[in-house]
Amino acid sequence: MHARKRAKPSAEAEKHRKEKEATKIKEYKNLVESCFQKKDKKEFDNDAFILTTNILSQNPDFYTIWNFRRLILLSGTLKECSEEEKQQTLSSELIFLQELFQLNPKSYWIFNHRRWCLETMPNPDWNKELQLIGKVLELDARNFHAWDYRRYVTPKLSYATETSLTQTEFDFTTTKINQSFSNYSAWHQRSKLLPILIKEKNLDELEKKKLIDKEFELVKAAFYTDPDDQSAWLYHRWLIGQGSNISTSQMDEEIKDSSIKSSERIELLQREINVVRELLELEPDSKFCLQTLITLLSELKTNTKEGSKKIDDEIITFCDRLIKIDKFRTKRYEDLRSKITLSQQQNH
Amino acid sequence: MPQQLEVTEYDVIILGTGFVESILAGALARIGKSVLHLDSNEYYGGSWTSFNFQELLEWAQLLQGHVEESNGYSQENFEGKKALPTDFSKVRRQAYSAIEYELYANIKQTNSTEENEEYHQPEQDTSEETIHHVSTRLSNFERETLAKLLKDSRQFNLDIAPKIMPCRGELIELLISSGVGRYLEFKALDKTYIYSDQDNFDKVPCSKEDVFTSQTVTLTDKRKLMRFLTFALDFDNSPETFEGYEEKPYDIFLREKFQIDSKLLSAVLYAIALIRTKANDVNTVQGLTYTQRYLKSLGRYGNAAFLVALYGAGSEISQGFCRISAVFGGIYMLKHSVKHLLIDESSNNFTGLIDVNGQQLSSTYLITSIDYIPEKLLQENEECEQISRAIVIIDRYIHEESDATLTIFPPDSVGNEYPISVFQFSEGTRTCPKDKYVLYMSTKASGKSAKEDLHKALEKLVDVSNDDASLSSPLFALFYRHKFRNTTLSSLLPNNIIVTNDPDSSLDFETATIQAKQLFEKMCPNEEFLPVVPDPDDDDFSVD
Repeated sequence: MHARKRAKPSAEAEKHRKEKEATKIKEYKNLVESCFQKKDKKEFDNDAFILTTNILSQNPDFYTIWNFRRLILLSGTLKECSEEEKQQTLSSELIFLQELFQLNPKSYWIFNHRRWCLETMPNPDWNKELQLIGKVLELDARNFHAWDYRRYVTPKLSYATETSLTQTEFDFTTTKINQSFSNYSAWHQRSKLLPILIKEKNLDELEKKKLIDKEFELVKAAFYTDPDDQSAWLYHRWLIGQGSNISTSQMDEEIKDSSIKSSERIELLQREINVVRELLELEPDSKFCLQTLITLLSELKTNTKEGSKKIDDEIITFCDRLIKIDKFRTKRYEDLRSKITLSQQQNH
Repeated sequence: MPQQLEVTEYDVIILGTGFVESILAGALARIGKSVLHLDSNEYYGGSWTSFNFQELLEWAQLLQGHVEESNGYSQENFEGKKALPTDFSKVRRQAYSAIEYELYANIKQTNSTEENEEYHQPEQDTSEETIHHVSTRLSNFERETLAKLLKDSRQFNLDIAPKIMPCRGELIELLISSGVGRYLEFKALDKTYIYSDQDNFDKVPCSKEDVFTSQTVTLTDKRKLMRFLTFALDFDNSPETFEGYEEKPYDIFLREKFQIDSKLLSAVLYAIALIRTKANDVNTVQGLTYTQRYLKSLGRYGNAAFLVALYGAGSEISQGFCRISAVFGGIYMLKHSVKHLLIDESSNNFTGLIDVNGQQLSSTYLITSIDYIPEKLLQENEECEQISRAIVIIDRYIHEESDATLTIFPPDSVGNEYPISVFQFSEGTRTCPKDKYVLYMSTKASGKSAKEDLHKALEKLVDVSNDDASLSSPLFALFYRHKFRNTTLSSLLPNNIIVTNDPDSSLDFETATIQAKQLFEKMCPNEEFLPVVPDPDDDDFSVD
């Protein structure tokens, strides 16, 4: 019921609750003890199986019990049984896992056991898994266990159906980002999918540039909307790539024609520097703006001969501002600043 | 022998089952007051009611007709008291003006011969009567439209004062706390559009997600808007930001402090703060309060700031409160008119009334809508605000398929002096049948008639001339104007007569809910306003 005051429990009720809890703890401890006894005696029987069910229902993070449960299954029910029976047994394991999942949607061991079941069963339904994990991400779009599991499921489904899911998965991240772009997992997933997408689609340079520019537009919209949200900045940094490789470094390893590349690279850096500078004008105290500018300018400096003094000076001003704004990292900015000052002195 | 009431003395008699009266009926019965609730109409809701299509048409015809002479009740003396005659129909009718309705030939329908056959078999005799009544001036095609609408008449729940409810605000909290919400169903209104230059409608970005995904807002504007929205949500905690602007017009504050301009400015003023008048009539504190109310409403029920009550909001919500009143002993009589109000000459207090059956009923208080006030006590206020409205039935959705949307025309965008708001409700809100949509348009009156105030906006929304079969076209449009007669009445009015307001020009029920609450607190200063009613389904439920 809404709009009802929660009554403060009386001392008596509190005592009653504590007593109840104490019995529960005792029961749980007894369960664990009997289960370990079974395990030590290597009794992989049905009683032991029921014990694991009871314990895991209360505490799905108890991985020793999960291991024991798998041993029971392997040496018992799953040993010398028909394919159908095997499928049947592991399907009911999946249902059990789904129930537990509702109690604890962020348990490593639930996902671990689920993978084992699917890999052990004769006919795993990967499509159903994808649907299921889609629902989980509706409930909590930032559950990184679920995103990780999604990355595990899609190649399996893709292999089973012999169709690529890269585009649909890429679109899925777009949907999730549009719902709320403060989602590190979704951006991360996108960074995993983009290179594959470009490879699979066999895009030429122009098409590739178009696609990547669209990504820049998207992430720009995000950090203009909320410059304090780090998730978008991280994706931006990934898009820019690092070192001398042109954008999204992973995809271009084979191309090392650096003379053409470096002019394009400089163009990209300058374009992005301007974008962030404009935002900085609106938000002079944006930490991420300043940090990004420092990264971009530092790389620009290594790529250009002229104007490096000017760049250095600018980086130093940004460091000064960051020291004032970002109190937790003052030493880091001071260090960066002193390095630049030092190299300036050496060059003179 | 007409039915007589056994009990003739009450704490409160309430006349009219409009929104405010109904809340008061519920609140007073809830704290144990004896309540007699009467309405001259045979339906609930008074000036807030909803009609099916045929009822709406008949209502329009009635209002269009000549104002009849007085009902003939004359002033009398009754057992030493002044008996002032009431004249409900006449007074009520005076609140409405500029009534015009139109039926449109629909080229899309006439192409389907199969459906045509159905038109010629109206279900009820009354339909035929209505057709006959209005059809003398209609073309064949128009008559077909009329017959089709009358056939589906009962699937329409058309509000004559359509309003929505913010997801956070006075009414929703009252519905939750009083339990009346249990009797109601809602749909979300989660899309707002604003008319911009070049005949485009832009989707209004309100939440962070909207701002991010909006294609029409430039990057710089995204930042400005977000910065403003973040501030406005919590403006009371940073008074330094609007220091010196408190009494200045809101638009000046937005321009100067947040560099919000042109299209973005219109969106904030008219689609987020939902200002119903000209921008410079609203000061910064008011504007921020409206904006904050909107922003706080987001995120409670998904990405919607408003809810729409199903089956016609005004009538359904009023009935919900009447139901609470009845559960706690309130007595209800509809289609029950009042002949005289009795006023004690020496004290100038209301003491009771004579009903249509000549029975004398007395009470300590009278709560009434203005329609039941004797003409002698009415003071015509020429200054009172008027609202121009239109109810338009169309055959295809505008913008996009959705249960409910809101569209705003800022001032001067289609030659309008004040902002025009347009709700579009679909079958999902139980306002109309499948494949039909209803547009509720409204604005503060400025021109010669309701039609003049609203028609240009209608032309931008639908294909009024009906040339292009691919566009949405109207089937029926009713234009009317009504007064917001607020309670500045004659000083002769007895102190124990409490008068409720008409529906105002705002888009929601908030001001009306606040009026109900204030009137209650004035009457019963130390009593709780609609406290929680135990849920009969709840295990803890027990009657004391």
